[in-house]
Amino acid sequence: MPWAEFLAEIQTGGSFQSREETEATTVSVLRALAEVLPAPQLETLTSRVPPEAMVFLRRTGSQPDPMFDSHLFLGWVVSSLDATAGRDKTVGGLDFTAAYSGEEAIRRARCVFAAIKSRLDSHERQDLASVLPDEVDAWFREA
Amino acid sequence: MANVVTNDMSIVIGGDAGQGVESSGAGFCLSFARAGLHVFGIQDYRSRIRGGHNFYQIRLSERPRLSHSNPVHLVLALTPETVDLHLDRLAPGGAVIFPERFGIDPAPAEARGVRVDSLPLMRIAEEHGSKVMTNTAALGAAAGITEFPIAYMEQVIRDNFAAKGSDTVEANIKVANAAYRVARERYGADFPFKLAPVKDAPKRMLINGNEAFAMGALAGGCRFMAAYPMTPATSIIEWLAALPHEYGVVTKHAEDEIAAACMAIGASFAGARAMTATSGGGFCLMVEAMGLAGMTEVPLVIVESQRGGPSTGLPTRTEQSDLLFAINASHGESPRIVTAPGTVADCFEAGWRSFNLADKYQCPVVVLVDQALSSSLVTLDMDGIDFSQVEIDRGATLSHEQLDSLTDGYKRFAFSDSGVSPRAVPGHPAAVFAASSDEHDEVGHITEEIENRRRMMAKRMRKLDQALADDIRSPELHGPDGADVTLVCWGSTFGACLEAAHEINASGGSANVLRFLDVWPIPEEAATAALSRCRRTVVVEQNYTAQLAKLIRMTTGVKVDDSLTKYDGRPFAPEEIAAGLGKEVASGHKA
Amino acid sequence: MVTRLDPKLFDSTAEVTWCAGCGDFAILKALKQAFADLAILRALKIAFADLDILPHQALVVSGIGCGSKLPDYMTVNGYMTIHGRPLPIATGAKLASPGLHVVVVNGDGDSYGIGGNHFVQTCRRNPDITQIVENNQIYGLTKGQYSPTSDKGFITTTSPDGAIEPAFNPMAVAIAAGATFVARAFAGQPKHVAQMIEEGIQHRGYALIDVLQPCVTFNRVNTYDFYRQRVYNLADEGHDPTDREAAWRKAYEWEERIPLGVLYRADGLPTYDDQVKTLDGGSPVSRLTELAKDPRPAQYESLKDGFL
Repeated sequence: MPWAEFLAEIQTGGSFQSREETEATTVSVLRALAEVLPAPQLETLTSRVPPEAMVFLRRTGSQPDPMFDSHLFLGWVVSSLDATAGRDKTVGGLDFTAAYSGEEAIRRARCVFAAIKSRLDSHERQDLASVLPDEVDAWFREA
Repeated sequence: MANVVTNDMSIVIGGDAGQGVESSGAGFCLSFARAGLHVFGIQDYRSRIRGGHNFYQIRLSERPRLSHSNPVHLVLALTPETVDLHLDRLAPGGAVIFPERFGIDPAPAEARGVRVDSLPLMRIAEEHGSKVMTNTAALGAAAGITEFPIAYMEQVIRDNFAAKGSDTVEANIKVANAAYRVARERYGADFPFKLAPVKDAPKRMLINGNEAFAMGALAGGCRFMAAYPMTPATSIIEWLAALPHEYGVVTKHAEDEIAAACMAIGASFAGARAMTATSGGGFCLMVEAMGLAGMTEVPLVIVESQRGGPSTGLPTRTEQSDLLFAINASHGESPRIVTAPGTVADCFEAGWRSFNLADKYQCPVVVLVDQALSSSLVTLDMDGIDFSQVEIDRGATLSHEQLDSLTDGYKRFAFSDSGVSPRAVPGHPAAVFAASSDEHDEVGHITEEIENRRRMMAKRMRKLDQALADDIRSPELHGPDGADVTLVCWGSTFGACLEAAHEINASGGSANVLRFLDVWPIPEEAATAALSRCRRTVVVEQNYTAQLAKLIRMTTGVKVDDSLTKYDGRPFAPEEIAAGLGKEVASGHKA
Repeated sequence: MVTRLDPKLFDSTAEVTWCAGCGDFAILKALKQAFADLAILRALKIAFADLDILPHQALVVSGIGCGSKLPDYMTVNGYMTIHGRPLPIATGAKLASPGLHVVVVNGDGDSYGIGGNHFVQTCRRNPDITQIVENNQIYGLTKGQYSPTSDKGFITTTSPDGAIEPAFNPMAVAIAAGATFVARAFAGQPKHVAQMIEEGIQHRGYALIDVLQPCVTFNRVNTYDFYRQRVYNLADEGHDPTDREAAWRKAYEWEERIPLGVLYRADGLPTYDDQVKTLDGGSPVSRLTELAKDPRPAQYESLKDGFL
């Protein structure tokens, strides 16, 4: 099944611990891309990902949000992270890990980008990268 | 008849709340002031709309007075209860006037050498107007028995009742005149205390501490006040709000004291001279905001008119129990100046001086007054309020020209020797800045860096050293040097202490007064020097724990010899102080 | 020629301490954008360029909380104050210096909890200020306690059995208290946030923009996805913001659908500042400047008559 394969590729590439985690990250990245890509690039992407993924590429508004930046992109990814590592007694037992999960989020986003890139030709990759917000485009290119 | 004493007496008018004691008393004061007499009037009332005993005590003299005094010489009783409550305060030869209907037994009074003079006051009131005019009848009777021309009272009646229509005015005038005639006929000849207009006396204002402060603030450039109504501070914002619009004073009755303090801080941050006023309970709510002002170096003037505490306490009565609170208010350590005017004339000066201090040292300035000073009515010569001596000193506030010539990046909290930084008012392109309640650097950015913290804390606090060098006043000695006893005081007890010292000196004793005007930062060297020249020091203050004595000891190490404290909500009278000194042990809690 | 103000004018060099992905970034960006865009709008309407809002013409007042550090990250006049109190501080500043464009930025706890009294009073007072509430339904800076806008049952360290009170409804409270501009936005749609801020600043009177803003660190329930599934734009459904009844109904939509945009607006009403008569001849700041140069003590003499 293309979706399962898609996820498996990502899981292996990113050494994710579980299928659930992989799926959550993948879905977040796809959703974030849906917010930011203009219609032509979004169409291209939609046609390349497994059918099960198409639902995640549906946009909330009809236009991409021109003010969507790397911070907002990360916001999508971070909130799906299982960012628990250790409870800090000095603050009543809370777990701060999520606050520092930016780098992990970028790493994971790159894994998803890698899987996407493998399904695009070089022209399509360039085209997609060119419409991504600053920094996000770099993550995509380096994936 | 016994020796006649003219123009030196005290009158009490007492009754239930709602019987017009306050308005009568105030009207009385105005009549006498307009006749050229010096007046000192205090009100004693409870926090109730109806019921409860209230009285107004008026001291009349040909010299300025800084205190009320006992005994009194004439009591106007609108209730039987008033007779019982005040009989003991009458001097021999004095009299209590009351409506016949009360049926008072004269024996106890006569035993003490005072008279109970019943008059058909209620009947006169009902005949010519209505029973509510009994207080007017009492005033007329008082004028009659002291043989004071009724014309002055008539003028006040006209002014007070003008809004209610000419019928009411005329009725009241008839009542006053009728009572005047009866009182004079029956009792005038035997009553030894007389009142007469003073020939060629200059015009004088009849004014209280709050009003004087408000005038000083206005003249000092204050054009913003936010406040929440709280006895006894409310009349400050009421006076400013009633000014003609052309003066441009923005006043705001805020939703609570927190909002009041915060609005004033916001207005001050934006560059206005802004203030708020409250009493102890409201000041409690402002404490956090005071820290904000201190931390962000925003000028702020807070008038705290103390009243009987703790908690709701004695809401309409006086006390001096917030001294240590005001000095230490807010968590952590931030600079503030606390000043304590003692007389109504002091209040006018404090009105404009406090804004200069706030601007120069860019910190909160608390003006500690109390119910007695806020509400007591005194006569003041016209030049006792001298607008031409008011200075507006904005300290290190940058002028527009100075802002225009700023070249480097502006640093709102720039380090300096004095601790004071040049202050820009938001709105100029060369000085865009942020201030933060967090610890911050010179530019205003939030930082927890160690070296910066040390320097910034020191910078803020050493502004007070500059204040001590340039502006803070040393305690003042009044009276003969080297007197046997020195009354050490602050705030409104100053007046009673001065009079007590006069009386002591006049009757062969030896006393002087050392009073603190600025109470924070304490001028330690000057205080120590002044105290060391005293023989026996007695702190006189209206609180339980002798807070000034504690403050003096804490800062200078000097232990005063004794303390005379009073915390029953009534202001010190001079004879109380003199009597209190007679004992070896102070009446009240020692420091 | 009209030159567009660059939002970078408002950039600052301070190190930002917000967590990665925090929705505050969107709000910060939107605010900078709003100031810049408004400039274009104004310059188009009026011939003179000096009606643009430049950094020195604005004042951003914040409370306490992660989002309240926003003024520290901008070049603009800023005042980071104390918890719950930016509204009265901003109101005082505006009355003293009415020429400043005053914007309040604080969080849901700061505005609807501890600041609740000032919030309600400001709604009815209608001063000409704009308030942006970064509503993340949690107390982020103090590490994750529930807030007035947390949903009933939300589990946090101070609500281990689930929050007992139902969530505060800022839209409904604002409408009931008489606010003249009540809007909601979502940090996941930054352009719309900017648009709402611009409309709010332009609105004469108090403008409330409640921005749903996921706290990625501590709020794992109200995430970007949570909102994405529910938000919709009122403008797309023909909502009439001048219809108070309709606005009221919209204020109560939350579980399944969350409306974004201007829920309610009443234009043309006088602001609080408009009605302060003593502001007619000058402001407390301008008058003080004059008095400091020319005190004219004689102007007060007639006041003594009131005591004679």
